[in-house]
This record gives sequence, C-alpha cells and structure tokens, in this order.
Amino acid sequence: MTRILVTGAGGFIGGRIVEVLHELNPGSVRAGIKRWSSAARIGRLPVEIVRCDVNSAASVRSAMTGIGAVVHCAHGDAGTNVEGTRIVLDEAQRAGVKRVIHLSTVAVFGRTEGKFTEASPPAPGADPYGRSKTETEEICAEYGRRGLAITILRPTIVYGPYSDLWTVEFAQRLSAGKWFLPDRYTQGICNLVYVDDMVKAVLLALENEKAIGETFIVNGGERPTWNQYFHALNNALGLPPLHPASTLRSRLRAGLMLPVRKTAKMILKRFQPLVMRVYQRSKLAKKVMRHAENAIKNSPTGAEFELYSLRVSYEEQKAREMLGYRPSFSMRDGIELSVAWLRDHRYV
Amino acid sequence: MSLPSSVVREPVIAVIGCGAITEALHLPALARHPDVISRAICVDSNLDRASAMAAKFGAARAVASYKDVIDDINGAIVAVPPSLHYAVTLDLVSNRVNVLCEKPLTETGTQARDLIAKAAETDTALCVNNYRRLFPSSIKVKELIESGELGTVRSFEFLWGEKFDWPAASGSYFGTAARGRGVLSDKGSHLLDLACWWLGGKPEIVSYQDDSMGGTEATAVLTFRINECDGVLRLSWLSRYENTFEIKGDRGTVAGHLFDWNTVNLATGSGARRTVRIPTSAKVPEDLGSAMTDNFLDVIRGRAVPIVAGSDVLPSIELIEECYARRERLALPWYDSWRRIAARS
Repeated sequence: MTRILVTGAGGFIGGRIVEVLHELNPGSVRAGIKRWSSAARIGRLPVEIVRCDVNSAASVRSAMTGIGAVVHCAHGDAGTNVEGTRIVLDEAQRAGVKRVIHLSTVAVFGRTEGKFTEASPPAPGADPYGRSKTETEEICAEYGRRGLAITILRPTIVYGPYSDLWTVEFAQRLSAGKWFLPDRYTQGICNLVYVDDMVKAVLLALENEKAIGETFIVNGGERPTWNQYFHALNNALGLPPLHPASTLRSRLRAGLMLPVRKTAKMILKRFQPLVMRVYQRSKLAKKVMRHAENAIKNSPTGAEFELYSLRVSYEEQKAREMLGYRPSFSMRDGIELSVAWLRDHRYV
Repeated sequence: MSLPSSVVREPVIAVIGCGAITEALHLPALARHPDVISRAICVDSNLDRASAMAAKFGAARAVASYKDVIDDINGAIVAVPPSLHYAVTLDLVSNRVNVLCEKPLTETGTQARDLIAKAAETDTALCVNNYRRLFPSSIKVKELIESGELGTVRSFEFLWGEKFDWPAASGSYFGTAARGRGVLSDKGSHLLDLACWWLGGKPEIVSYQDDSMGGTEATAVLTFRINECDGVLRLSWLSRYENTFEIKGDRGTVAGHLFDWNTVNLATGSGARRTVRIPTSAKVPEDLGSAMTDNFLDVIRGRAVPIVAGSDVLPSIELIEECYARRERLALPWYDSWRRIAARS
C-alpha cells in the first residue's frame, strides 16, 4: 500500500483530502501539520499525524520517511509557498517518492477577463499570491526535469465546509443582513468548485500515470455569477430575499471602511498583546472591538468589487479528457452540505 | 476534612510535564512565591524543554524523570497528558507526595477511586485543578440553586465552542495518543464537574453523541437528566459557540457567559432580568488558576484543605467515562459525502 503524505493537513483542503484518503484506504495517509493546534479536525480520525513544517528541511525529511506519494497543500506567505515547495520537492526526490501532486491556483492567471485553459500563460501582473504560486509551478517543472513525477492542479474558488474565505465569511455577512452588492458589480463569473470535487481531482491525478508532468485546471461544472451564488446561499440559509443595493452607498461604504481596516490592521500588528489584554479585561473595549470587527467583515473591499465583476472562466476540459474528471456536486448540492455544516457549527 | 499529617513542611514542588499549561499557568503561579520557585524542579521527558522552563521562571533545576526526585519533594503539580495522570499520580501519592493534578484527574472512575483510596491510606493531599469552581459566578450559581431562589431546577444548558488554538507542545491531545478522548474530556471535565457540583450529584445520560471516527472527538453533544432537570451540553473544538450557560428553575433563571467569572444574569419573581456582579480581586481567569496553586501550597504547609479534592470530581469522571462507553456518532452529511466521489466517475 502506498503511503501518502498530505502537507498542510490542518487546513481546509488538506484536511478534506486526509479524510477522504483515510475513508478510501485506512492506514494509507500521513497527515503533515505545521502546528498541533491545527490538528483538531483530522484528530477525529485514527490517522498518523506528524509535524511537517515546510520551512524546515529536517521536519519535511522526517515526515517523508516511508512515503510513496505526496499531496502538497501547505501554503503561507510568498516565501513559504516558494521555498516550502522547493523543500518538499527536494525531500520527495531524496526519499524516492513516486508521485507528487502540487496544489497551485488559477490566481496564476491574475485578474484578467476571458477564458483560460492550461495553455494560457500565467500573468506577470498576478497578485503576490498568484506570483508566488507561479514560482512554485516553475520549481515543479525544474524537479520534473530531474525525474520527479509531479502533477500540478489549479483549483478555482474552492468552497464548502471549513472554508473560512468562501463559505463562512459569506454566510456570516448574509446572516448579518448588512451585506450585499449592486448587480452591476456582481455579474462576474464565480468559478465555484465544491471541495469534494477538488479532492476527486486529486485522487484521479494520483491514480493516473498520464497525469505525470501535466497541469490541470480544476473547476466545478457550472458557471454562476457571484450574485447567483450569493442568492443561492442566502436562500439556503433561509434568510429574507436580498434587496438591490445602491451603487453609491456600496462604494461609499467600501471607501469609508478603508482607513478603519488599515488602522485596525496596523494596531493589531504593532500592539496585539496589549489589545488582547484590554479585550480580556474591559467589557466596553470588547464590545467596541467586536463591533469594529463585524463592520470590517461586513463591508466589501475595493478588491472584492474587482473580483465579483470579473467575467472570467477557467476551463476544466483537459481534466475531463485526460483524467475522466466529472464534478459530482452541483452548486445546489455543495451549498446544501455547506449550510448543514454551517448550522451544525453554529456559524449561522 | 482533617489535614493530612504529611503536609507540614515548606513546599518543595516538582512540576511534572512542561507543556503549554505549565508555561501559561503553573510556573507563573509558583513564580509569585520566590521561596517556592527557587526550590522547584521542572520535570519533562524533553529535558531541553524542562531546562528552558526552569531558566525562564527561576526554578532550581530540571530533570527528565520525576522518579529521580521523588524523595526530594513533598508536592507535585501533575501536568502530563491526561492518559498518564493516573499512573504518575498513583506513584506520587504512594510515595507520600502531595499532588495537584490537572483536570481530568483520571480516565475512569475506578482509577479515581484508586487514587482517592491511596491518598487516604498514605495521608496525602490529592487536589485537582478544576479551577472553574473558584469563579465567583460559579459559586453564585451554586448558592442560587442551593438556597432555592430558582425553585426546582427544570433545565440546564451549557455551550462551549472555540476553535482549538491551544499552543500544544506535542500531539498528546489528539488521536490515538489521547486514547480517543477529545473535547469532552478536555472542556467537558470542567463543565460536567460544575454541573455535578451545582446540581448535587451525577446526572443520568439520556444520549451522548460525538464526531469521533476512531480518533478524538472535536464536537460532543450530551443530554442528561437529574431529578426533574433536563440538561444539554454541547462542546466544540472546531467552531466558536456563544459560550454560555443557562439554568432555568420554576421560580427563576440564571444565565451567564462562561468567561464572565464575576457576573451572572438573574431573572426571578417578576421575570425582569438583572445583572449581578460579584466582587472579586481577580482580573482574568488565570488569577483564579493561581488561587488554586496558592491553595495547594497552603495545603502542603498545613494551613488549608483542598478546594477541589479527588473525591469532589469523582461524579464527573464517572459521567465522562459513561459517555464514552455509549458514544454514538453525530450525523455528519458533509463528511459522509466522500462516498459520492469514491467511484471517481
């Protein structure tokens, strides 16, 4: 039985990969985490959990012992993405690992409109995250030339249970009743893929020899607009219908919150221990801070306006043709499971 | 309770297990007593960690095994992983060393009864760090129930959920290392101790469900009944709950936040809810944790009896054991959806 190491196993996607691999083949998976504090979810399973800090070659080397395949999900800041990937691939080669799946992102294409396939070149103007992932793909190519059997997957907007970014935050914003954007800013395409479909692509890539040396976009089967996603999630949460928002008001709110957001970030960065002490000791301070936190969370940023209006489609045709990938979850299915999870976890 | 005869000397304490709780709570509490910390010994199988903690807090020395110093100490704070509490504490009390053990004292009622009997036999103090009993709000709730101000208690609810972010130094909290005992053993050992203490006994389990799939549960839901009271306890390591309690009697309701150690909300008589603030010198919950350590030192000096003794926590230990014995899995459709991708097509 091939033992599979999942890096970043304490995270949203890595955690789900561990769960599914364990269910399909108990004893086959080793979960690599950076900190023990991230192990509560995967600790529910009788899987082997090891420290695997991708910034440390020694840590990765130890985690790689006896491993036949690696699914590299760990990510962090740009430095961790790039150097961490180099360390993982280096140690995989040293350990004689047979297969590596590297999770990249469609953010390598930057924020440009149009239809993108694997043949489309990465954009030099991508954001720092996208640029760092482009670098990781170049490192993959380098190790591929040295004989390591690597497959790169570029997921789109991965949502579902445990997704803070694309599930919890939206649900909380909608539940707060204060968050909605005007139609004209949300007619962009929301390239949603349910997390289990992402895992399915990982399984197919692991099992298919033809995937070696290839890159695949992993997307869901539908192309809703962002507003269609917001409406569907809102309905599934059983909330009152969303009303059209005023363009001016939305823009104004985003603009007004910008200095608040920046100031809060600066204060937290410089004075976090002091802020936490005040938070613990003063009920008034706690109330004010929570109010500010909610106001920030429930206000869209300028970058969000840009994202939600982007008419872009990432085509998963190559994965369909070469891997036999077919999404198993419609947006409706994915939202239904997400909402069941959100309710159970009392996020809404 | 009479004072054990072994508790008449100045404390020479070994702190056994130098993980996160020791660094955050026990050593800072001992460091408030310069004469005590200067004699204290840090013990951890990771000697580097023990040495670092000794240096940080000014303890006398560090060793890798408590067995090397068992004849030199008259008190020990046991903060090793819970699965080791029983064996380590039994060894200590058998050697007439007074113990303050982290919660939960043991994994089973049989083990707890063993320790209680051995401590009595060796005339040794067995204290447990269930420090939530020291919260002024906890004491107030007990008073309200015992005085009959709430009338007959009819319902009881505890909600405690936070994403697990304890800076655990090892994996002892999870999976097989924790012997499949997760959030119920961790947070539940606090709350079920309070429930048993407040309600005056061990409730009967109506149902117990959690999300363990062979490892440590991260979500647990217990429903129980005691006398004429129906209770529910819901715990999570995966998400943030309201972190509240509410106890309804037929003459009044008391409610509060689990971290408001000095405030409760009370509604009696006409039904108007009022906030009752209980005077305390504690600024943060950790101050109350220190009070537990101070009590232990006074117990060793022969000046006090344990605030929470081993026998006090026996009902909650037995209740947790029974929960695990009859655990059922929670419905988790978002987890079981893996079956839909098993066929890959």
